[in-house]
Amino acid sequence: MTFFDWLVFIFYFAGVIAVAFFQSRRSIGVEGFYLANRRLSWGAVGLSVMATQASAITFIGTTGQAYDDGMEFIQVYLPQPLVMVLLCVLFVPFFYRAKIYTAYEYLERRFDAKTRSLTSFLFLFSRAMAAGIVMYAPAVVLSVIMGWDETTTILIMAVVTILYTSVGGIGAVIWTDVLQMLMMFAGIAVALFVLFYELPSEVGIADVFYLGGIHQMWKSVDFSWDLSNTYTIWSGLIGGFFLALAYFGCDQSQVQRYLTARSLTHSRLSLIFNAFFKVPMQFFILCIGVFLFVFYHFERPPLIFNPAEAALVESSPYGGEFERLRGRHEELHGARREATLKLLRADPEGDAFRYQYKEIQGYDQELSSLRKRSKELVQQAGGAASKDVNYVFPSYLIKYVPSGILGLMIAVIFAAAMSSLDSELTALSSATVIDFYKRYFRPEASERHYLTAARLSTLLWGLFAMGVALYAGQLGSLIEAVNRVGSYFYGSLLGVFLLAFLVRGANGTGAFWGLIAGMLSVFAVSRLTDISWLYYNVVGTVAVLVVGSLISKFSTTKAANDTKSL
Amino acid sequence: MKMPQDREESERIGLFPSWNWLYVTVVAYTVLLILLLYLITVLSDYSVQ
Repeated sequence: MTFFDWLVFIFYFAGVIAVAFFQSRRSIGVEGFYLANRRLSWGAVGLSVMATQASAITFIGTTGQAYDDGMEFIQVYLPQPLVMVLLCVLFVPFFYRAKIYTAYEYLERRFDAKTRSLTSFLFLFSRAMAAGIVMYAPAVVLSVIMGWDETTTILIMAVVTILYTSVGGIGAVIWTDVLQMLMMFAGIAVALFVLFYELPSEVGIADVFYLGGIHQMWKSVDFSWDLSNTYTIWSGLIGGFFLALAYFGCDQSQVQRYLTARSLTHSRLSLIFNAFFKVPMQFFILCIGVFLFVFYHFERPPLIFNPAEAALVESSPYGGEFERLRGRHEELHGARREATLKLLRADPEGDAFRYQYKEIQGYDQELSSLRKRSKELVQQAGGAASKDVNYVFPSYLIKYVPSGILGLMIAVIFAAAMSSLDSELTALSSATVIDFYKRYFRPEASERHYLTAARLSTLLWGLFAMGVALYAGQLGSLIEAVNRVGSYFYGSLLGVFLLAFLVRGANGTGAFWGLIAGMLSVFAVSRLTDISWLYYNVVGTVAVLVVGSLISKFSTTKAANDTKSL
Repeated sequence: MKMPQDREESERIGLFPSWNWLYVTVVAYTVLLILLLYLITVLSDYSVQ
């Protein structure tokens, strides 16, 4: 990192702290701390909703995924605009008018205390783990870029985030999210521009699309009917729809955001903002991965992107074989580069084009098997090569990005991580204090007491997430790990809320046992079938709705409140 | 099931005469996105069979 990189990086931290400090003076009382006194405009809330979902994992994992598999991951995001409409029509009016602090609080008014407590507990369990993973991702990046160890990085990021979150509450969180989201927009634009700028002078923008097209990297939709295939239009529209509805409709880290809006209109507009801009943003993030794929046709990529694991295998008994693979990789890459340049100049209808195309296919196959063998060597030497895809973008940043821009990109990755972490911490804290502490232990304490409890629980959850982050390295692909954990509970949580909104005769007994049945169904399906994890939410939701409705019908318990009175 | 009613339901939202118009626009936008991505998939496939 040069002086300018450090300057940009420090400027980012100073900006975050200044915004948080300014906002902290406004968080008076529990409503101020958790809901910013319900006074925020749709623009700030909308950007915060977007920033909460876009974590550092989005930048590191998704770009790496696009480098390997192309644009297909976009299909998971396609139903999000429809989800936002359903939230505006069904979820937001109930939540907003009920004047609640947490989504689960609504379930006690509609059903009973045990349903509220169980759903809130499930949220706490799954998101506390996710908060740890969110912190681990930038620690991975900095361990590569700056040579810091992961523990130090986690400590630096956690301390700053915990401080501004526990002092400033949701107001500080949302306004720092706005700053962080604007930085992410700038980061995406700069990354695409720099990637294009670094290409050889004879390669134009049309060639980038052309080369990506030859390797089918722009393939964005897949209409095949294969339930075991994770990324198809159907798994995206069906599984992605339920995943997004569960996340935006039942996860306190998102619900809390739109409860801070100054009116129902502003609350809805914040989601409509995301309906229009979320998919394009994700599209451009994935484009970075495809641009990297094209870029590495002209610059030789490392055989293993994680330098620490490359060093590990070099110093192991497999070092000799790894060195031979590296030599062959260099030869093949040079040959493929030449063939690619010839292909770009060839007439697509001519024989020369077909010849170069076949040649490139041959090189690609051999390069792919070299990389596969290298990963095996890393594993034999004691590394975890399965995560190498997460190092693709960071590895590019270290080597090719100009002075100043590197600092910006590191700040963007930090911003992405911190904007998700701060939201998780306020959500975890609100669920703990409102759904458990105030509900069961101190129902009649003073405002000041609850504010202290809110700050303390934010601090404690931050420390817990930090502990989880230290073990996150044992997980596989980061992006899938986060979604996979959520998938076991999310569908069932969504089922309970839909039961509350849509089934008028549903009662607490039905909701509670329906929730248990939903989770058991997801567990059974994940063990007994090979369908994609994206469908787990559908299974959980349907199981809760069916079992919950049936038990409600045949049980003697009356519904606490039907939807009319809420 | 009866949905909660509010005067905000029928208010004008910027360019849109009501919320329903805005929702329909979002649905149309989603269809357009899928169509656009389908076109990108088909038109950018330069692979040789």
